[in-house]
Amino acid sequence: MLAFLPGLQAQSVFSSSVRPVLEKHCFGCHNEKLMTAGLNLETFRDDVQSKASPDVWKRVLDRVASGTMPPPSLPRLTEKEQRALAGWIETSFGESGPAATAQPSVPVTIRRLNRLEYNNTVRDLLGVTANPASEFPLDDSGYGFDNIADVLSLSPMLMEKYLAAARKLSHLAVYGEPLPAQPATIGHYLGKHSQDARRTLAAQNITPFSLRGSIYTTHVFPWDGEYEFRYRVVNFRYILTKPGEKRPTEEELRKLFPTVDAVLSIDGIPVNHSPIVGNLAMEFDRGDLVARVPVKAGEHQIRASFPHLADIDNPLNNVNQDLRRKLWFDYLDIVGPFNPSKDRPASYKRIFVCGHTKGGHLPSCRRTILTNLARRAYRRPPTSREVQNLMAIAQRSVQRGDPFEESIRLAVQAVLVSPNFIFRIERNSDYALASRLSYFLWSSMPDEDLFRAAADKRLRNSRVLDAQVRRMLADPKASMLAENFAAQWLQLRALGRSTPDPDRFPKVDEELLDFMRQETILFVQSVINEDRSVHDFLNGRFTYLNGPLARHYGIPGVTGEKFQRVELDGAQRGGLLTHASILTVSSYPTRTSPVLRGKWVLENLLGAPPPPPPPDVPELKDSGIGASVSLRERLEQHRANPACAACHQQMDPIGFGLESFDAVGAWRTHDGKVPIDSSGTLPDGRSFQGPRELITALGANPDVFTRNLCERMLTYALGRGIERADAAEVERIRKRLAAGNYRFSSLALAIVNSELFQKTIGTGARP
Amino acid sequence: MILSKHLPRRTLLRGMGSAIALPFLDAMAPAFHSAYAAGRKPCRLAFVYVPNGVMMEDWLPQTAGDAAALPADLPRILQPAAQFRSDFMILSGLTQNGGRALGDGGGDHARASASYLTAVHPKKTFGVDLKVGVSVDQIAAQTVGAQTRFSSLELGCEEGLLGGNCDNGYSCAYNNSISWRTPSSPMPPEVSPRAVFERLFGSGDISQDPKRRAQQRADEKSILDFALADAKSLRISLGAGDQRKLDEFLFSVRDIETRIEKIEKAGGDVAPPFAKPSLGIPADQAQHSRLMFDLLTIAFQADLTRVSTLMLSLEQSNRSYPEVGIPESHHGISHHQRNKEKTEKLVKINRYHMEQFAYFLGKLKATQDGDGTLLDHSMIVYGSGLADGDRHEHNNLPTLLAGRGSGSLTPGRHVVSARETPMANLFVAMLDRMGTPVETFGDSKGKLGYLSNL
Repeated sequence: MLAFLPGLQAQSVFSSSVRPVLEKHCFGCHNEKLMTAGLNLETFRDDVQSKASPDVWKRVLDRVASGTMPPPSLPRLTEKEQRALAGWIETSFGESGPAATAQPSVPVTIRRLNRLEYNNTVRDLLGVTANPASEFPLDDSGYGFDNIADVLSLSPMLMEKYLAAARKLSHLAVYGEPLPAQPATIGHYLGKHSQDARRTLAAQNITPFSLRGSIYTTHVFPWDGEYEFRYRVVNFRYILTKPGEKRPTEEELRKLFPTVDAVLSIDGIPVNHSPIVGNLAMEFDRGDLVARVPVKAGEHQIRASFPHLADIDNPLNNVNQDLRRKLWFDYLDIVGPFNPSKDRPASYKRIFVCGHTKGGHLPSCRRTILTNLARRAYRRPPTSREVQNLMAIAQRSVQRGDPFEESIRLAVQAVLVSPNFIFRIERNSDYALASRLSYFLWSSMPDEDLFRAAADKRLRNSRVLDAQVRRMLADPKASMLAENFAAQWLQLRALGRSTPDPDRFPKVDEELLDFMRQETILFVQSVINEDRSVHDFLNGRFTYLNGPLARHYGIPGVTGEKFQRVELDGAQRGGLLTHASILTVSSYPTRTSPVLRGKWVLENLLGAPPPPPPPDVPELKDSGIGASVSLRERLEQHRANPACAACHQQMDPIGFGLESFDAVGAWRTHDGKVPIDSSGTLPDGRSFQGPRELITALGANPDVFTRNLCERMLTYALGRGIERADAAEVERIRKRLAAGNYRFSSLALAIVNSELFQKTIGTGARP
Repeated sequence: MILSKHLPRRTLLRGMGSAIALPFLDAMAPAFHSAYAAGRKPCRLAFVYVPNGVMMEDWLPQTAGDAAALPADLPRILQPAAQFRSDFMILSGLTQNGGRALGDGGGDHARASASYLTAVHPKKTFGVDLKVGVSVDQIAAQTVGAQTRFSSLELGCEEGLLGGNCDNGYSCAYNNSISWRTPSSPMPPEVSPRAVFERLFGSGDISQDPKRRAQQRADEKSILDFALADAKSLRISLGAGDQRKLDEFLFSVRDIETRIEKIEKAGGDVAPPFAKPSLGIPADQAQHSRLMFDLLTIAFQADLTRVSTLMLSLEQSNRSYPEVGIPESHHGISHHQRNKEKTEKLVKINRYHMEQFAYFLGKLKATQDGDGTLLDHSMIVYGSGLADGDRHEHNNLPTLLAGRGSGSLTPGRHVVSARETPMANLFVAMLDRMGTPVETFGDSKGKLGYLSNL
C-alpha cells in the first residue's frame, strides 16, 4: 500500500534515513539554541516541512559535498550517510530533474532607469550632457548591482526631481544654455591642501588631494567656443627653515631649482605649458597663468599638473618640512565663452527632424517631430493615442501664440515624465530585445541601427543578433561594461570611500586611489576590446600603469602621467587579485584583513559567499601586530575553535596568500618587524606559497570562476537575481563560453542568445 | 474657536526677510480637523534618529518610581540639552520586538532601523520583496498631510549606502530609511540642504513674473495629467508585480499634483527666510544638521508640513567624528566590549548628537506659534533603534520625548514603563494626540496598550 502513497514514502525516507544523520553530525551546533551560522537544522522534522526550504538544503549539500562540513576536526560522514543525505536532497529538489527548466520562476518586472542609465539615455536621446541624475537620490542595490528591477523604487521626491530635470533638459535641448552677456566664470576649482583637510562646505568644486600638486576634474562646457583657463601655481620649493636665515638671491634660486613645466591638459592632450622658474612663490607679480583654448560643447577632463613629478621616486619629495607641498596648483578658474558659436545646439537637429530652422517650420512637421520623439523616447513605435496626447500638450503652447519651437519644447518636457520613458517596459518583441540589448552593453537606449533592425523584425535572427552584439562591443559606449558592470562586480565604487590612514601610508593620496581605479577599468576594458579570454581577469600577464602607480608597485621603466600597457612577468603581479584597487577595497584603513580579502574573493570571484559571522564576536586585538606577533598568528584563534574554523578555513588561507600586499596594494616582505608568511592550504587540500601560486590554485577549476562570472553578468543583464530554476540555463551559457575559448564576446553572445535574455514572462499580452 | 475661513499665513511671510516671531491674528488660525485637539494649535510630529544605540549608563536618569521629576544632575549624554529640561521627558522600558532576530539570524542594525517606527519585523531580503510596515509618521501624514503643502518631510545628514547586502542579508534600503509609506516603499531622506530648500521654496529656474509662473504651473499640471494617463493605460496591461511599480509612479504624480493645487490655493510659493544654501553637503556634521533643523523649523512654522523624520546618521553608520577628535568608525566604537577607552569615545559621540538636537529644541522654543512656541505645539522623539549597541539590545530603547504636544504632554519627568512595553504603545498615544487614532499598530494583534502616563 505504501507504494501508492509516494508522499508518505518520502516522509519516511526523511525521518528514517536523513534525520538520524543530521542528529549524529549536525545538531550539535546547528540547533535552536546555538543556531551556528544562523542555521537551525533541528527544526526540520519531516519531508513536507523540509521541502519548503530548498535554499537551506542547497547549502547543506554544498558544504557536505565540498568537505567543509562537518568541521575538519570532527568525524566525517560515512559513504552510506552521504548517499542518504545527498540522495534525498537531490531527489527532492532535483539539480537536473524536471523541476529545472528554462522558464525563470521570477517574471522580470518593469524597471525604472537608474541614475547612470538616465544620464546616458538623456545624452543619447537629446544630445544634452548635463548629468541631471547627480541630484537624484542614490539607487538601492540588490545582488550587488544597482539596476535590479524589484529593488528600484520611485518616491515622490524622485518624481519631483524627474519633473525638474524634464523642465531643465527640454530647455537645454531646444534653446541651449542661455549665453551670458559677457564671458563669465563658469568653473572654479580648488585643490585640497592635505589628505585629511576639513572643508567647511564640501562643495563639488573641491578636487581630490594630490601630493604631486595637481588639480583635475570633469567639467561640462555648455557652448562651443574659446575658454580661458586661469590658474595659479604655488612654488614653495625654497622655504626659510632657520630663524635669521638669509634668503638667497633670485640668481642663486634659479641655479638651485631648475625650471619645470606646469601643464594644462584637456582630455589628456596638453594645451598650455608654463615654465616655473626658481622660486617665485605664489607668482604674485605675474598674476594668473592664463591659457585661452577652443573647446567643444560637452563634458571634458581638465587637468593642471607638473608632469615631471609623476616620475619622482617618492611623492613626499614634493612636500616640505612644514608639510606644505613645494609645487601645487592653488586654483583653476574657467572663464568663457569667448567668441562662442551662435549655432543652435547639436541637440536641436535630433529633435527637429524635418530639417527646418527657426522661422521655417511647417505646422505639419509637428506630428512628424513628435512621432519621432516618442518612438525614440519610448524605445518603440508610439500608438496613435500616445502621439495625439503629445500633440494636445503642444497645442496648449500653440494656443497661447508661442513659437513653434516652444510648443515642441513643452512636448519634450512631457515625454521625459512619461512612464514609457522612465521605465523600461520590455515584453516579447524585437523592440524589447533591442532595448534590453542596448541597456546591457551600453547602459543606454538603442541607436538607429538597432531600431532599424527591430523595425524590420530581423533582430531575432541569430546571425543579425551576433553581428549587432559585435558591433556594439566595438562601440565606445561599451565602456559601460567596464565602468558600470565591472566597477560594481569588483566593488570599485567603494574605492571612492576608502580612506587609508595617512600616517601609515603617507605616500598614498586621493589621486593615487583614482589611478588605482583607472588601472582596473583599463584592464577590464582591454579584455573586452581585444576579445581576450575571461581567464585573463584572474591571471592575465599584463596591466595598465602610469609613472606614479608603477612607483607604488615598484615596477621600473614606466614614466609619465599617462597610462600605458605594461607586460608583467607574473612573479609578483598579474590579474585582478594583484590590483591595488581591489587590495585596498578589501582592507581596513590601518591594516590588511585576510578575512575581508578571503571573503571578497569567495563572494565576487568564486560565487561561494561564506555565511555571516555569529553576533558578539570579540574584536581582534590590534596591539603588537607587526612588532611581536604577526596578524596571521592572531587569526589562529579562528582555527582553535571548530565552530569558527568551518567558515574561516575557506576565507583565511586566501587572505594569507595575499598578505604579500599591504593594505594599499604595495608589495611587502615584512609587516613591521615580522616577516610575511603568505603560504596556506585551501579547504580542498591544495597548498601554495605566495600570491602567484594562490591564484593558480584558485583557477585550477576554471568552471567555478566562469560560472560565477556568467551568473554575475546575467544578473546585471536581466535585472534580477539568479534563481535555482535558472541553473540549467546558466550551465548552458557557461558551456558556450568555454566552447568559444572563453573569449569575452562568447560570454556576451551566450547571454544574449539565452532563453532567459530573450523571453519575458508574466507582463501581459500587448507587445 | 475653529474658523472655516482663514488668511493664508503665507501672505504675511512673503516679503519678510527673516523668520522671526509673527504677530498672531485670529483670522490666521488654520482650520484643522483634529477631534482631539479641538481649539488647539495643530500638533507637529518629528522623529530624530541616531544609530548604533547609546551608552545607557550615561543616558538613563537615576530616579525612583515610575514618573519622577528629572534629577538636578542629568546623565552625561543628556547634559547638552540641560537648559530644556522642563521641555522634555525621558521614557524607559520601551521595546521594539520587531528588531530582534526571531529566528532570522544576524542583521540587528537593519532590523533596528526598519522596525523603529513601524513595529514590524522586516522581511530578510537582499532587495527583492522589501517588506516591513507603514511607519507611524506616515500614518499621521496620511490624515494631517492633506492640510499642508507636504504631507511629510524626510531629512537626513548622511548619504545613503550603496549595496544590496548591508547587514547580514538585509538590503541597504532597511538601513537607509526609518520612514515607510507602504510596507515596501521606503521614504528616502533628502540630505542636500539646497535640495530641501528648493523643495520648500521653489527652485530658481521658475519664472519670477507671476503670470508666466502661473502659466508654467498650469503646464506642469497638464504634463502630470499626461503622465497619469499614460500610466493608467500602461497599468492595465501589466502583471501584478509590475503594477506595484507603476503604483509608486501614480502615487508620486498625484502627490505632486495635489501639492501644486495647494500652492495655487495659497496664492503662490512661500518666500524663503534666508539665502539658498550652497550646493553640496557640508562635511561638518553640526553645520549640516543645523541647516536641516533650520529648514525643518521653517517648514513647521509656515505649516508647510506637520510631520517629519530626520536621521542624524544612518543605522550602522561607519562615519568617523573628527569634529570631536574621533577618527574611528562610529559603528566600530559602538562595539565597545566594555573597554573604557571605547565607551568614553562613544559617550562623546552621543553627546555630540545631543548638542545638535539641543540646537533644534532651541530653535523650536524661540519660534512663536500662536499663543505659545513651536516647541509647545510639537511632539519630537529623539532616540535609537538599539539600546546597547555592543550587544544589539532592542529593549529599553533610549527615548526622549520633547515638546508639550499642544497641551497634551507633561514634560520634565522620567517616565518608566514595565519591561518589554512595546514602543508601539507610545506611537498609539502620539497618534491619538495628532488626531489620527489607531487601534492596532505594526505587528500587534488586537488592541494595543496605550502609554497613558505621558
